Amino acid sequence: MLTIKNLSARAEGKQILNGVNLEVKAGEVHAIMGPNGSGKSTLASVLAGRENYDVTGGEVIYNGKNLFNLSPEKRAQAGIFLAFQYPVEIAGVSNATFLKEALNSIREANGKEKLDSKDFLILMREKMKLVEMDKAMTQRSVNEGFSGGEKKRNEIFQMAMLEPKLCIMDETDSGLDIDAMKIVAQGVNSLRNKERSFIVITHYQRLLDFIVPDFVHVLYNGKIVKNGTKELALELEEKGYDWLKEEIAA
Amino acid sequence: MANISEQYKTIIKEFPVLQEKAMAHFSRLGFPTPKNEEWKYTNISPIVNHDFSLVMPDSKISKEEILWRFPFVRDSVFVVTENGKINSEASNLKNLPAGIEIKNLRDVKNLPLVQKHFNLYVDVQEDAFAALNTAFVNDGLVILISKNAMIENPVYVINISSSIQEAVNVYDRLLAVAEKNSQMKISNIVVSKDKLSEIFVNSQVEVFADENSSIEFDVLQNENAKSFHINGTHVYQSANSKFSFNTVSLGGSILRNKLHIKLDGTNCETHMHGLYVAADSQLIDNHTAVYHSKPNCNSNQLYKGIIGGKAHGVFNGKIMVEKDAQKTNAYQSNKNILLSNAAVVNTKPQLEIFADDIKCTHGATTGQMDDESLFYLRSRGINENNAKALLNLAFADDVLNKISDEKFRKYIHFLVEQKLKNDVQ
Repeated sequence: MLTIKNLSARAEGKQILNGVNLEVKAGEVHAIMGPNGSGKSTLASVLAGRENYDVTGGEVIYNGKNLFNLSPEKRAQAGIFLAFQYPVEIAGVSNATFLKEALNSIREANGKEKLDSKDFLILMREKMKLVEMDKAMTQRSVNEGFSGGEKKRNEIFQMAMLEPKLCIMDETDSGLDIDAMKIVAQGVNSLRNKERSFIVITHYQRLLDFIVPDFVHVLYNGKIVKNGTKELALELEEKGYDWLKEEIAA
Repeated sequence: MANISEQYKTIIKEFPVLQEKAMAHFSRLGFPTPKNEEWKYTNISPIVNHDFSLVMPDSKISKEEILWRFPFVRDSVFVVTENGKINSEASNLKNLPAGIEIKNLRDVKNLPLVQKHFNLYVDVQEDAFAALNTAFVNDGLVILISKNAMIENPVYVINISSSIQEAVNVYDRLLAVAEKNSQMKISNIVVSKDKLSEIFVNSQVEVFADENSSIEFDVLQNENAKSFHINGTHVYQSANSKFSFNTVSLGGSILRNKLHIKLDGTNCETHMHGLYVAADSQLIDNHTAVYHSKPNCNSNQLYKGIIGGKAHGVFNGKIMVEKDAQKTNAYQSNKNILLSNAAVVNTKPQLEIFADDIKCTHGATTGQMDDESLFYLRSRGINENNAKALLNLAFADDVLNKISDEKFRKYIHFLVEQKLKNDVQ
């Protein structure tokens, strides 16, 4: 589904990614862990198509297509979804209006008929249950005045609505208490299936207790320095990142 | 408009004394130039250097066509003017609710109320366009709301203009009088009949709000890309009156609005809201002035602009608080989004305060669209143009939501959305 080959990228004049390699197949859940400043969020941003990042080398192939030829909206229409670390508040645009526009843009791009208001509402009600969203939240402006936990739940709610093929979660656990994390994880787990892949970016192992990954990768200094399975996450939790840094230095 | 004095000689004069005086004022004033502070940013030489005839269109618009164009007026009272002349056949003036009269100015010129208020509030002595409009006045619309009448439903005033071969000069005129304790809503639609017509509309509106009256006046300006429009709206408020004015300016090559409101009684409340969406090389200019003459009045202004292409927006908001107007609350805000490097906005607050116990605030912002919000929407699959339109529409909604006539608001909302999606970049 996704092949990242030797990817390098700069942001604000600083080299951040230094040759990342990663292969994600359909249905797999990959966790990317790493200390602060290792390039985790940059990787997520580059995959989603955020401006202000210069790709300086390498390539990313998504379902046979060069990802960098696609605008952010084309990537979303092709099934890529980024759950933001800091979802932006958009005053004056209601969640429902926004999601209807998003869903129908994606459907249209994939040759499907647009949903009318009634069918959209039915779908929305069904998906709201997944992350325990209440109706009032869908009528409010996008993320405006939402608590940290509500914002993250809203990201997963959008994911459930848009049914992407590749979900990238950028530190979705940051700022969540244990109950909120369970709700988010439950939502994500309900979306797991044989076709849908996940890249779960996190600093802590805690989220991975609830969203159990197939593979764990450690990103350090803009490079993946260690690959493993869920046991690697536990080891990192226990020992921290310092032993890895020493291992690399040695 | 070199032919203007020749044209003046040819017209039938319904108000010879007023018209002669007005023409004399115009001859003295001439057209304003950018040297005039009020016209500093608005170059009207494309209008002044153009010739316009007074030819009326051959065929009149039908009621069916009005209803086809504006289906939401179907169950309401509506009055249609075509090139400034009232088209009664296309209007729906049957079953007027009690307490409202809608008349042709010519037919009611001897009515005491009309004699008292007509031409009293426009500034014929200092404003060249007001002088010209009065000099060329013929038909005009008079809306009278009698004492204690509560007219719940809006009255639609549809001003439609067209030209055939030569460019045409149109003079629209409206006088609205709300007597004591009355209430009314006017929804004004200003459009061109087609895309090719070349029209210069000079419209002058006078509103008198007597004690305890309440008026909402909503205006949609959506003329074609070739048209010019210069408007003057003068409102006079008596004690305890309430007036809300919402202007949405979308179409027109050069569009200039002057809105002057005088609060000449205690406890008046005034709301002035404007939205202007300018694309290509449009120029949209709003000059507002609110004169606080008496104590304990509140005025509140919010004007928002979305400017794309090589378009130009102008906002000049004057607040005058006279010596006696203690306990005045006056607020003004002008916010603009520039969508391109070539888009320009000139914004200027102008405060003249002679009372000491008042609250007065003003603010103006001009910015670009928020990149983070735009990326967020695009990352959910919404294409760039629609994402921008969605954000701009949210910005515009602050003003649109002030329009209480839901049918009219929805129609305007749709037009704004279309313009944002298709024309403004």
